[in-house]
Amino acid sequence: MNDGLSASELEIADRLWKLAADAGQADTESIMQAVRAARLTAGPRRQHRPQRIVLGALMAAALLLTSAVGAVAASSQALPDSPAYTLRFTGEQVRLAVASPVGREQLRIQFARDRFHQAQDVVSQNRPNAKRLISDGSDYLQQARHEVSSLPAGEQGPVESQLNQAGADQAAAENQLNQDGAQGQQ
Amino acid sequence: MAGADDLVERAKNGDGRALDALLERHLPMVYRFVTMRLGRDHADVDDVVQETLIAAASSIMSLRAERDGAAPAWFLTIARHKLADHTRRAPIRHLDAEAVVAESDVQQIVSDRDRDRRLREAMARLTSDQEEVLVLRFVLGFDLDQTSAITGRTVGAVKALQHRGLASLERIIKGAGLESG
Repeated sequence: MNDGLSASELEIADRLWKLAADAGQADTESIMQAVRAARLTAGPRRQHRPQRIVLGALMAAALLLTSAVGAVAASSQALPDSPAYTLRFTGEQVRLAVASPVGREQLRIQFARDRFHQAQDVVSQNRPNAKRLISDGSDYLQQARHEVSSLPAGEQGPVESQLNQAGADQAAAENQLNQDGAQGQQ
Repeated sequence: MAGADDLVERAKNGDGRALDALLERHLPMVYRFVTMRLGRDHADVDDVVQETLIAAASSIMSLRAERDGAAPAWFLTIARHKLADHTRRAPIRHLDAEAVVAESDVQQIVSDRDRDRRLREAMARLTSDQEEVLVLRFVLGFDLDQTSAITGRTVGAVKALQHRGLASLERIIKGAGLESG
């Protein structure tokens, strides 16, 4: 950086360098944690808020969830055409936000498989619900597939295995949806 | 280690890990830039850095990283906007020096802070081109080639702006009695 600079220029350069501070390890970790939390709780292109607001929102959501155990229990099986389906998503995002990297992918797979199984249960009564469940489950599964290669090598195997099982569930749900559609047309 | 343009493409395709890595890679630069503007111990540094990275994450699709230096330039542009937002909405507040250091150190901290403030003011009197090059070279630590790529100028033009900027800064500092000491 000091190529060809005079002594006085070097002195100014040194003072400029000292004008700023480096991020410490703790700063980096807390900032990245807040950024990840914000990304998980807000969709793309939405206005985001700083850490304390985001964490506040997460805590408020968690408080809301824990103070309404019955509602949460009900929402965990809520169908897309129910208002409680939003609560179901919120609860899932809170769980993802506090999970470890491996736990997060396992949760995504679990959320996906729950939806695939549920879609098979409801397809004959409510086809739009089944389609949406499969679509949302597929989104979770796709996110997990994207992330799995970034996990520690030793932990990728079990997650890959779960991904394969979830993929089979997805295929079964899509198959049943297609069969139901075909029967409806006959 | 993946290149920045590879990370950008993967992040744009929904790879959360790549987006994380991209943000984390640029965090040190954004952090230095924000502390340079606000002050090393300003209480809002972390918030502004966070807001910058969150905004970057949510608008990643707008990042075009075909040329070298595009990603740092893009992050710095977002950081400038966030700093401007911060300046508009927040009163100036610093950590209370007396509350966190021994009394004997307070005078030195106040003196350093005052010297830094006046250096910032001197920087603000440079042309925007000169200031940009000095910040990239001596605050953020980019070399000549990187600065050339980020600014889209030739290395020769960067050197000329650097030389004129340093000379101007030296004149302003000496004129204002800001010599080190």
